[in-house]
Amino acid sequence: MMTWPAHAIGRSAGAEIVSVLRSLYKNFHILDTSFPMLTFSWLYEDVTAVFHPERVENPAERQFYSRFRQAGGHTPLLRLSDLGPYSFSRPVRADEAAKTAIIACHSSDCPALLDFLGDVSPSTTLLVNEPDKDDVMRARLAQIGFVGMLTVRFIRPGHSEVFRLIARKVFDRQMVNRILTASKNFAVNVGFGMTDGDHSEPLIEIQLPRVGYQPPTIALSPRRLIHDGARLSEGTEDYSWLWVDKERQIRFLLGYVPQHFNRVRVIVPNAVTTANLKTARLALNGEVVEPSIDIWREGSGAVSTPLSHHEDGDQVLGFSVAHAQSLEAGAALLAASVDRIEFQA
Amino acid sequence: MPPDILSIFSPLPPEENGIADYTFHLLRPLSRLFECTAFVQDQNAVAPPDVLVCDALQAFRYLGPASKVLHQLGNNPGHIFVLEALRHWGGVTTLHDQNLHYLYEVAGSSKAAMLPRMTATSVELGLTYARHWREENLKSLSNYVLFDMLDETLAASDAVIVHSEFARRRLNLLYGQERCRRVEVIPHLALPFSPGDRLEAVARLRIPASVPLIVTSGFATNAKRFDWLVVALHEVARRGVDFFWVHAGKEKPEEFALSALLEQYPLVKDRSRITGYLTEDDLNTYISACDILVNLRFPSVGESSGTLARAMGAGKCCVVSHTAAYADLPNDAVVHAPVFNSVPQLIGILQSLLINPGLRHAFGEGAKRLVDQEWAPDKVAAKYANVLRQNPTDRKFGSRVRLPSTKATVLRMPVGAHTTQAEIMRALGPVAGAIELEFELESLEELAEQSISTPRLLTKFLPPAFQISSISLQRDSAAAASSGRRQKLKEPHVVLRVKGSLP
Repeated sequence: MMTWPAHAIGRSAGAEIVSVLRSLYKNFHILDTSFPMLTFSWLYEDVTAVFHPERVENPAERQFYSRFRQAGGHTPLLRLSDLGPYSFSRPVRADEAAKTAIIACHSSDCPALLDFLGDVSPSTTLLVNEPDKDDVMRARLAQIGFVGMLTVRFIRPGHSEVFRLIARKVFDRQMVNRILTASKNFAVNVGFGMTDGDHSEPLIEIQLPRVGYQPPTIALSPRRLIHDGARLSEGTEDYSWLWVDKERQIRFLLGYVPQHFNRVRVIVPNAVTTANLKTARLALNGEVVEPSIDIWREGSGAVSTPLSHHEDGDQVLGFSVAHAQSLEAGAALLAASVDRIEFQA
Repeated sequence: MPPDILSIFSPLPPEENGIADYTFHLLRPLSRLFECTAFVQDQNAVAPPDVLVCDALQAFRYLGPASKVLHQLGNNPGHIFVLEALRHWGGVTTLHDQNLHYLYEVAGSSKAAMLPRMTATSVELGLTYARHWREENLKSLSNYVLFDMLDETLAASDAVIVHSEFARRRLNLLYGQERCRRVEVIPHLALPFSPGDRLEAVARLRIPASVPLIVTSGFATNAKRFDWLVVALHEVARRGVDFFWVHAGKEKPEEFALSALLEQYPLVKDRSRITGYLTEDDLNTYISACDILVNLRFPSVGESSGTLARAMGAGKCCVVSHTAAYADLPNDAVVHAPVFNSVPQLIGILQSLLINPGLRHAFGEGAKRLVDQEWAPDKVAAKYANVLRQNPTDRKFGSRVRLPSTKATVLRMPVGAHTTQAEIMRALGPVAGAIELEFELESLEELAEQSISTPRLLTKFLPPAFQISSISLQRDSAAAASSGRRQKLKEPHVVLRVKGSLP
């Protein structure tokens, strides 16, 4: 079986490339194939995780990631093989325009993607995180109609990150100008030129400060979470919560957690009893830790622990309590509800 | 040199499971020999200090190709994840039960997956019972007794640890010496326990202090032979020998109506108590208070008892059935009660022990000696370390999982009116995945005759759970030319080719 590791896309310039996309497309959604890294989940609100099981050699690992559901549990993980139909059928609200599908991938994913790109909607754009230019792949993409290309190179002191936007139509001067204008908000310097070679294409170089904007806190709401619990998130777009059921434990797939966050805090509005909340445990990538527990009022509070970044990969956060009980006679057993996961710098 | 890393897949407390307690107490001395990680299903599991607790599902993050892995496997739903871990990672397995049929059932194994496992215990019996189950949906209690489903554990483990010579002999007889060459015996450890003062314990439990206390423990099941014990105690009481009996455990009325039985024996009822489920501390108090621990089993499937080990470690006189693993215990460490003509024998044993404290003391001393020398956690952990170090794993991720092979196993054999399914299964061996069977027949006429005389001819030939994907028939003139047997035939022979798979 051909397997290859998942790469985190946008570790250095994720927020900036999202700004670039915002300047180009009024309405878009990102299909992130870097599962389980999923960097874009931290940066943009409309991200669909795309799982390619064949990427994972170890069956135990493949089985583990297959447990998860996204959007608070309402939606299964999208399979790479379903990209085509999904790019057409992405549901939009009645008051929204159809969204452009942006398939975010690392260049090592391109060979696997090729089989499915022929079926995607015409407006679909590839966002390829590509350290080195791959002319062979470029030619193969051109064969299936992806002829337009624009390269954006982000340069920070000490390292750079290159993205190529590849679409079925060429990127015109107007689009380039939109990027140049938008990048003034975060760039130290911006340059524009054309690439060398037979097929010359637009190249934008954006110099970034050593460290970009790093929000001190990010809160993930249950309706956006990827988890393996049996229940679905409840509530509205503004406020949602998720019950942990009789299993008493749940795992949240966080993807690649930005390195500047050093603490994670799970907000528990209802653990049924304070005694139950005091039994709460967290697990970071499976390793169980004794967390700090703040009690706010009867049965509610926050459970937190320092984050460890010793692994340069995805993070899975486990949360558990010792007991589950019915809130009223005859009702299902519930252990605790979660309404926010906060990351603190 | 840094200590070896040992990964253990097992339930742990607070799960109410004897194996969880066993692992907890084994981890203490093991963590002095290895750097231990306990992989668990429940994040709220409790391990001794210095032992890392990790999610079993995320073991892939921690295990390397040379990691030492130990599984504690028992026959209940709390071990489904251990069975899955064994499939993924291999390693050394401690088999706490000699039968995993129930585990396979609750693990959601499909009928198709379980049918071939039945023939692993016994080809002939397995075929018959598998046919009953497959065709008539007939599955009875005997299936659970006859088909232990241990073949996969034997095949996937680098070594298998059992707690008695009986268990090893049993596996050898059923599965053959070759498949059992890495079965090792490590006795059940005696959980660390310092008995409290007897009189204090008796007072705390509000039990008459003036008479000897007999204790039984655990779920009151059929196999614990309360039918024998109650009748024997009745007779002992009738003879004027006094005692008090506590069943330190829970009734299981759907299996054995202990309370109802006591109603029929008022002499025993007046001298007895059934406690219901007890915490470990409360059970220890009963062991501290007891003079005789009775632990009968018949029939036995080779199980061991943690309470028995604890009582023996506390120097208590123990009475066990002379069967299975209990028969392996030395005669000076326990009193063996015969399993035939058992009630009269039990009356004699109990009467002698009740009236003779010196005799009880002598057996108690023998029991304690055995436990201190063989069953102490440190001693048991050292034996584990030997087995783990002598059976290194050469693990390539993924290779342990029985994924269907993409390359088909091909078996070609002549078949006739007398060919049996067992012959075909023997020729095929223990295989899974894609299979192509080529049955050679003398002629089309023979095939027609056999089809008429044996309805569902293929069912007769094919292994249980074989899933057919295609059937074709061809005249094989090329093979006829090269086969001496075929050269005698007047016409080319016929090959019935059946493609399919076995789970």
